[in-house]
Amino acid sequence: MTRFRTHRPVAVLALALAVVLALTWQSRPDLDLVLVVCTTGLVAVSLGLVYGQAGILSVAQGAFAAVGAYATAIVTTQWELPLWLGLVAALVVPAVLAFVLARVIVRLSTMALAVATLLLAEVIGHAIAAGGELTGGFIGIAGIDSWEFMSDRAGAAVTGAVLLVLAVLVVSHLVHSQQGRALRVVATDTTLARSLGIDVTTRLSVVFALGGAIAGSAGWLYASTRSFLAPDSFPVLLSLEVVMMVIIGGKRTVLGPVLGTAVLVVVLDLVPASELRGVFYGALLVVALMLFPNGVLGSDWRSAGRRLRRSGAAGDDARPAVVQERSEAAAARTGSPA
Amino acid sequence: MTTLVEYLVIGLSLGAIYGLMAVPLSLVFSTTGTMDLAIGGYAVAGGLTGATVGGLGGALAGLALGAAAGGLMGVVFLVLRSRPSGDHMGPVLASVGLLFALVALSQAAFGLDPVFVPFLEGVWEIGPLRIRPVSVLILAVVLLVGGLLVLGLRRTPLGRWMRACASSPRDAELMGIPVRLVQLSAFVLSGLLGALGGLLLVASRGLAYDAGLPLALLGLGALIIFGMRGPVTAIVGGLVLGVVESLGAGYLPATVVPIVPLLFIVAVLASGRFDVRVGVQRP
Repeated sequence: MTRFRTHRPVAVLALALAVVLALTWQSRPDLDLVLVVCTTGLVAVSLGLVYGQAGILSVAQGAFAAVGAYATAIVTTQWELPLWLGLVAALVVPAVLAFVLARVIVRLSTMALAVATLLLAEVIGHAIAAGGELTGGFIGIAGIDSWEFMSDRAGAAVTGAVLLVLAVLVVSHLVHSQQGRALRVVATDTTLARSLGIDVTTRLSVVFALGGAIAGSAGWLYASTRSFLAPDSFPVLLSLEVVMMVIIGGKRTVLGPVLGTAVLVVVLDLVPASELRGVFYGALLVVALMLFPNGVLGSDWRSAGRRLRRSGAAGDDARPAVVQERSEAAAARTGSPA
Repeated sequence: MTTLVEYLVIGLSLGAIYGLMAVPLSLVFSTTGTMDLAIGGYAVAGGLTGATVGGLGGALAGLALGAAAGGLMGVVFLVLRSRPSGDHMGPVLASVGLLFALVALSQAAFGLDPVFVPFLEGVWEIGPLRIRPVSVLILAVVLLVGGLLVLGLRRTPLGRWMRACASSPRDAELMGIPVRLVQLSAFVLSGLLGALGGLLLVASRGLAYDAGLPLALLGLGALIIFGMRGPVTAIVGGLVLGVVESLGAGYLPATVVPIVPLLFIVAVLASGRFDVRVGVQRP
């Protein structure tokens, strides 16, 4: 049963990606869109892990992706080291950075943490722009080396899809493991977690580092498929947009972040005027928060259906807020993120 | 020495605007328990509208737009709060959504270039000092607004209601205070003050559509530096932040300048002395 729950989201995602790739195989712009969904989706999965599971609302995941991308570019292009070292650097450098930062910030409350990470993301952005020869400053790094199979669009999209499935596999395993349950205790009730002998700070730092590594892999994907990198490649807005994607998709679920990313990227691709993107983001987020407070995949569709069938009676909604909150917290403590 | 004083004056007038962002944040936080980060959006939309329409009518239009946007955020907040599930960050995230929308609308309506409508031009020369009168005006306006707000909170019925909601929404509700109405008016006031800040920026140093997020963050930073204790500490925090930024711009290398205030706020946050806990209060 556990194994089924662990592998179902992975299988669903792999199947969906295979179908999408088969449908878009002939068209270059569509494959580009798939690649964007995969790259952004990796960042979203990393945030789903650190926010949805560990309760760390990080607005720096885009910055970790930037660090991963620059680590790759510097290792393979500036220093001309082997390509696989670029991938290792893209995973290790953001992870170490995240681990160190986590020591400072994880004990803050959600709001303070969000602000602190957002400011740190800005600082990282400024540092990259001021990096001189190493990062290429405002001009960036061009002609980034990568493997042959990633040079055409189809190969790049397939690589992105495989990477995304791997990331979801890792997250799904973690969520449904003993470690994942301990993590949910930490996220729900720190005091309880401490009393159970869980080392809260270390555990959160490790998860934050893992999130940093997953975000870094998105940076590797970006750097090796675009072959060009500039400070504008990962704006601070990306970190904020990813937060919205995760919230809309369902932060506690494994596939929610991917769904949110796919929906937002595709919908915004259809919006003609690019300057109105922000309006759509804002409106979608507000509407989604009102309709699905726990995200599209996080909503309890079965009980919602039952409530509809019973129709008319105010039913569950009439319960006092406190009771619902408590039952929700209990569900989160013991519960099963689908 | 004279340059130092000039930097201080520039910093104080800049900081007064950060304080003007921080005051409504504090007001909304104490009455509703949430952070209204759309404040930067009210400033951008209100300020740019005022500059485009022009004159006193423009200023009034900007203020009205800010108030309307604040009211919209208030309605969204009330709807989100009335839903049983959903976490405490919901209204904060919704305010970020509104910030995005307002910034994007301002970009679409007013373009990419910063707008600067000089007001009270010329400089006062006091001995070797050169001071722009508009800096003094901003400082005076913000101190006046802060003073009126403190008086209003102490002396008027609405102020008393707000303080009641701040200390306990549940008890306020039981005493027959229309808590939702008070919360809504806090958001409207927030929109009004945000737009005022935007207008002052347009008149003193220019304002572009992309100032929304930085303004909201610096306002939040101003609010938390001295703990979240109300309008007075919010304004003082803003002044300190402005002076730090201005002195940094004067004496540090250009590459470091943009991150000085940011790191300052991170350091205050990381010290953990003044933590921001959203969603403690609930009617």
